[in-house]
Amino acid sequence: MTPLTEMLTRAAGDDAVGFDARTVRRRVERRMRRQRAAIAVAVVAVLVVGAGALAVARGGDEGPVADPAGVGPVTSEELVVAPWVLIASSGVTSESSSVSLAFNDRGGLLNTGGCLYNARWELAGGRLRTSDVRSYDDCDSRGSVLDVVLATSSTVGRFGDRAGTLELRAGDAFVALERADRIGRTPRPGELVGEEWIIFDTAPFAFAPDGTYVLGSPQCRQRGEWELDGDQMLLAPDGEGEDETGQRGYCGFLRMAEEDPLHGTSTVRIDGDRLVLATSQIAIQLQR
Amino acid sequence: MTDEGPEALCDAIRDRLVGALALATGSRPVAEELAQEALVRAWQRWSQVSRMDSPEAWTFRVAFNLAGSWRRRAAAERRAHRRRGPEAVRHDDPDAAEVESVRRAVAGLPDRQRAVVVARFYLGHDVAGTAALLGCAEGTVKAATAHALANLRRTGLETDPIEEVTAP
Repeated sequence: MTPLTEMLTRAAGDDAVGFDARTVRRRVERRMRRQRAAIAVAVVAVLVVGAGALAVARGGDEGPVADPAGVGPVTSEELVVAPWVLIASSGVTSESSSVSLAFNDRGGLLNTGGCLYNARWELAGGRLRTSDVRSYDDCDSRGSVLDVVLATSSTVGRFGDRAGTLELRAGDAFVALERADRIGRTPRPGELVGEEWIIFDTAPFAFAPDGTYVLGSPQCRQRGEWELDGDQMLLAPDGEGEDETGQRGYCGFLRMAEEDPLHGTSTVRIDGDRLVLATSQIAIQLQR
Repeated sequence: MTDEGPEALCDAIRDRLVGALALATGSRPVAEELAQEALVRAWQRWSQVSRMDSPEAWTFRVAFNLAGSWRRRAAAERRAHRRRGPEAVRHDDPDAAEVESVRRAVAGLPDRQRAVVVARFYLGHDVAGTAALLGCAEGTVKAATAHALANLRRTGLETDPIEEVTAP
């Protein structure tokens, strides 16, 4: 045994480990119970919002919400997909995104996560459509609002009409507005754009097969390297990014992952040969 | 071992897992927490993990990643504390000064170097085994080993130079 090995062995400690397989099993079982409970909550939320949607479909639209605080955010621990219902949750768990979209039965929609805004929502042709977007803080441009929505309202919708109305269609996937701007249309998740970038469909990330990525959002622009490591995706900013506060090389998603113990790098994981961004539950094939 | 289920994996590696994480994080309590989390993930994904060449290696890799995440969060907390005011008072650690200094030195290494040091000199993997464990090239392991040992020496830790040559 080398001196270093001896030192490390001492430093690692030889106290009895305070858990065993039964402890781990109980933890697994508790986690599964919580997940089942979260799904139950989400199902209830779908029913509640669905009832509101039906009311609007019958002509109950009273216009956009004037008082954001009066909307009453609806949050859930799961993103929920239904034929015409969109719910994105607040950053409650590692399975959720940073957006919190709440719908009321007066046709009001409020996002309290990240960029604060409200809007009008309605059902049109079996699709959920939002319009009259009004922002309240740094979402001072329609483009920013749209980009935030595109970046964070994962799983359930698709950017439809850039000129005016946002159209969110259940079951489709989002892509980053910046990428859409670059190629003049909305790329499909997983599509190679410019024979270079793979579009990731839940955040304004674009990952290239050579191990580099770009992150572009109103709050953060960043480049760096990505690496698949075990069940996680590791992102290493190259130090040239800049966030809204001027902090360089370290912003947005990565900062959230570091400062929020509920997010961490576990927001990205590998499921078999798929790369999964857990905030969306959407997986795409990412070829390296 | 993997035929026996996640319980067997847990019993087989928990001591080494906690030890490795104690070195990676500098904290035995944190190591126990992260070790459990890594084992929980292996347990939940056992249908896939059990088919891997080495479920143990997968679990260690997850554990090292968790340690990296924990370190980054801890760094963020320290930055937040600094913004709020004076540095938070550290809790006294009952460990001996030498143990504490070794933990601090190892925990102060960059992620890759720390993982390599723990894998090679604590877990006893050779270069190839370490590369497999960490999912990187053997050349990366060798380079990280050299850099890590140099960094450890700079912290005052006595490491025998021969280790760089003779370490498996």
